[in-house]
Amino acid sequence: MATYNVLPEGISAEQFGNAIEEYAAIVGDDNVYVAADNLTSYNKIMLPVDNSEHAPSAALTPASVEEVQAIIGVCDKYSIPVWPVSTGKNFGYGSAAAATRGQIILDLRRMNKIIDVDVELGTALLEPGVTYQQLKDYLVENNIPLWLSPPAPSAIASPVGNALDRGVGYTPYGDNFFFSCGMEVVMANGEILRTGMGSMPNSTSWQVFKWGYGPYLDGIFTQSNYGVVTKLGMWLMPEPPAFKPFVIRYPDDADIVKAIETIRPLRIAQIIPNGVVIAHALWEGGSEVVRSDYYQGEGSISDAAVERMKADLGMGAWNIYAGLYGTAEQNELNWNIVRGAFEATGAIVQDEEQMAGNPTFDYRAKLMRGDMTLKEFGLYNWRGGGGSCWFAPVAQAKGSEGLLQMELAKEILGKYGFDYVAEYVVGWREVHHIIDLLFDKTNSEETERANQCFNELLVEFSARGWGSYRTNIAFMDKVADTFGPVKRDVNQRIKQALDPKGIIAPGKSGIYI
Amino acid sequence: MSPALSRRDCLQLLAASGLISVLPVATGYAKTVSQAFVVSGNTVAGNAFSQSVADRLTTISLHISHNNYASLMSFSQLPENALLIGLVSDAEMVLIDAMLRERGRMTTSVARIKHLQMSIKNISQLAEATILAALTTDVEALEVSPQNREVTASLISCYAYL
Repeated sequence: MATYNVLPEGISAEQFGNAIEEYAAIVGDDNVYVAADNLTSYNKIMLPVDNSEHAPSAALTPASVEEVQAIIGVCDKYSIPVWPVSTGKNFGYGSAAAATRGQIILDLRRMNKIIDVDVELGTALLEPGVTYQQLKDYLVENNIPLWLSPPAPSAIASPVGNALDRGVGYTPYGDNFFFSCGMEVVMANGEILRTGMGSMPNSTSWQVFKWGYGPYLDGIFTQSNYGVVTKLGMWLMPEPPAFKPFVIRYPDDADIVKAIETIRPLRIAQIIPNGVVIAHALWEGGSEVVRSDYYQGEGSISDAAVERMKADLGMGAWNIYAGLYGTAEQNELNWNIVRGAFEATGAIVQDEEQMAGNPTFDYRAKLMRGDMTLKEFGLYNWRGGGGSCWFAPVAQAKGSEGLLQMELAKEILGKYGFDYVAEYVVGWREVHHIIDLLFDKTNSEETERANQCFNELLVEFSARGWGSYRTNIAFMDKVADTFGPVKRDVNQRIKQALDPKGIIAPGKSGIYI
Repeated sequence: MSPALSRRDCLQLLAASGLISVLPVATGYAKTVSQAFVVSGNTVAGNAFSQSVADRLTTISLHISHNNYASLMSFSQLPENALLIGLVSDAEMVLIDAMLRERGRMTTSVARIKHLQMSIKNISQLAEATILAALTTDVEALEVSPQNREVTASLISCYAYL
């Protein structure tokens, strides 16, 4: 009998061996990974926890929805949990690892077909393994004037995966789930559900009308474990006649109040239509330089060191990137409004012409027109050691809220000796406060400290009513708790109804049977 | 090749032969290898490391940048049974491992060295140690030493079998 390093909970080696044979009959031996050597890459996570807590028992790489259905059938037969990932590039949120030990990773990267792109309607239908770069290449090769809205480190990531985790990009279509339209979902009983208009046979409006008839279901398949999404419709933004990116800088941390207060009315009125980034100096500089060039002392980086870095790199404490999209005439009109509003608060406002040749500006401008970049991976070099854990609370788009969140985050991070590497992304009426807790994972003491720090961030922010919009696999239960018992109970009852054996991704967003 | 030889002796013999592909699996010193590749950032330290590895083994050099998508694509094209030896940053290692995962593989870290401490001599020694670790799949003596505990601005030497 084969031996396995990790088994699903409650499953014997013999049962698991039988299941593995059945999986291999579905996807072929080459697409079943059970050897420890082959599984280590699925267990490389950057979070401040012991990787073994998230070790998989196997990984499967199906190539079609029929194979996914058959796999789910075997999982149901043996009660083996399976954790779907699109491409598994969700670094800092858990990569390709599961929330609990022993699950089989259902790696959907081979399901990478661009099924349809409708140029006139600006829609796409994608499988989960399609990457942003693959889709971008398709659009360029076919001379299709549609834009994507990828997250910052995006080229190798999945548009479907990002939308399902409710990630954001930086064009006016930046809320990626908001701009999705229609899903195909393999349910735990093997049935295929097509949401929205897709439920109707021969429907031609699956990718154009989100709501369908009756309850709108798509939302329950995001950040959840109620099914395996095997196709997602997306709306793509038509390339505008003109695009005018710009940067606004404020010199002091406390200027976050002015920044958010000035942006909010412009965002709500859609004068600035895109997801606006307010990058702190340590985020901006952290992806370009390394910490030890500026600070080699104990604890958090000193204010003096940050000031030196800001001066060297020509950046503000807060660096705002936004864009105008439309005709040149529209943009010019809006530019005068935007520039006037920010200059009245003492900000430095510069456009593309003034920033010509500046690589940081070029990078941000690329993001805001939906181009690929990997630049923010540079944050992993800031401190070194391979540890990264995203903390992502949401707040009202009010300066007072932004200031309070920044002060609290700096206080807690400072207590544990970590740096405030953060940015705000301004939506229509809220801000996502994205904090990258960077630490040295090769150092067990520092890793434990990062764990404690994340816990305290979570506790203190939620105590003030600031919930996380998304979290990593190690803290899903704790974040779920912050949203209260009724929400957890309803989530659980839906789970029990749709997946009574709990075979799909137990623990995702703190949801179990 | 006698099992009585030390690992370093083996390394020297291999270096003299210039061909890793002749390494017999039966010695237990390595897996079957079709081609060897050395990867680094296009930096002074990276280029020196690549050259040091190339001085000892027949290799094909690859450059990686965490900000260059095209430089990642070569990792999905490497042949079966290839050996990859590298000196990379944390960001580059994350990306290499992400690409290797598609082949069920991952890098093994050998040593983490402060960038500022690197001299050409150090890099040469690091290259030799990394090759040795790769050939023996043994990193026990080469883990992070106390003086290198401070990891900021570090580079990581590593290897992976594909």
